[in-house]
Amino acid sequence: MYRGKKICEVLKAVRLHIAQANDIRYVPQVCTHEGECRGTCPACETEVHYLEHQLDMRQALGKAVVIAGIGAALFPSVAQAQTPDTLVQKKQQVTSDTLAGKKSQISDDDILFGLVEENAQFPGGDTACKLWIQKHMRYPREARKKGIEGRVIVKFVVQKNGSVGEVEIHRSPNALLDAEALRLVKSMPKWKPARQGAKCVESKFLLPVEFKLH
Amino acid sequence: MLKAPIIGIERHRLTTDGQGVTTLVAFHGCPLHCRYCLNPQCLVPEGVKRRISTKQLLDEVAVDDLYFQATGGGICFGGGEPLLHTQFIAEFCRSCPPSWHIYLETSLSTKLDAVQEILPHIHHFYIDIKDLNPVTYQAYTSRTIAPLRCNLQWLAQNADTDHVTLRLPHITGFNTPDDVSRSRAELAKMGFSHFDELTYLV
Repeated sequence: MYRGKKICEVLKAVRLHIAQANDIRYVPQVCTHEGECRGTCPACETEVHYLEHQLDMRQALGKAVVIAGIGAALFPSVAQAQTPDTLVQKKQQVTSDTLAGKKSQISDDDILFGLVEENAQFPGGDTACKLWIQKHMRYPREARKKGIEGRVIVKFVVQKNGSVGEVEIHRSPNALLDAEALRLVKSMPKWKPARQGAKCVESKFLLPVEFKLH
Repeated sequence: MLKAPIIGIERHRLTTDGQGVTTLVAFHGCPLHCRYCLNPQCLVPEGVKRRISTKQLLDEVAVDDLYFQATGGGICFGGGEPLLHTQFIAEFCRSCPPSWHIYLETSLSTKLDAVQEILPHIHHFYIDIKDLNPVTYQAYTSRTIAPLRCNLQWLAQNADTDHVTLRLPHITGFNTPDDVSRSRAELAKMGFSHFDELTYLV
């Protein structure tokens, strides 16, 4: 069943709620993924990881973080699945912890981590990126022997000239997959750099590299 | 560590299997052989897509932790029949974040001890009744209705029925709207109050 961008739009709304409740600057990008988007394209994944990173930073700074139930209002209530007390508790949590909205300037950090008018893009887009990874992947022998699969999130910077640098592992289910994930990203062709208006800017990117044996 | 055979994992399901955003984990294997089974690959050996450990599953589904927390969502175990894999589910539930809600989509057509084992871990049950008429049930599923009836009685007495939704399908060629109403009335008498009537596409 072709559901177009419906799922993507709902998930984007959830992300927006989370960002607004935690005073995180977040400007959702228009999804340019071709075909049905189930919220799992690299652009959507990058936005999730950006929010997670921002929430981690807030917690590390001792600030309140509000996540539980933030997006629940977007969904028709499964009244049988939640007791009224639970719902009230979550609403109260939002009210007491929400910070007064402040208009903030776009900082260098913001530009560096996804808050640009136009995201950096692999040549040919997200589908081309996935296909390139599949074509060039050399599945780690040890991981294959042990049946290890998973998604490695690689963090890197796309420079103003499109070259990829500062490549590191952001999150990984198994260390046996790391070296190959890093090698793949480091060997990528130049990206289309991020833009702020007419200006090419440096930007950070979080890319999921999927390891699947089947 | 326990491993279980699965036929698939589907992310970003919106309220079809529970509150908020859920990930469906569908197991291989089922005690029933329903005429219009939605996932017949769960009945044949080659339908096993992967054998996965609880740790592997947790690592894989954790990617949507933010959505689960933000929407009251979590994991829905279905299949196939998840009650054939209760030890796996229990082990998973002991290791996953407590903020995740765990939903179960089941025919409830298994031994009672499976239901008893799984009850403490499940936030909400979605039970596919088919039809309470034993002849209709046998004709549609090729199995006796006895385990389902026994488990429903036990659940009505031991679970919070506000966390149980009974799915009553209209199945062309097997039951009529009157049959569905009769099933619903009988289930209401048992103590259940949440129903979901739907029409099977055949």
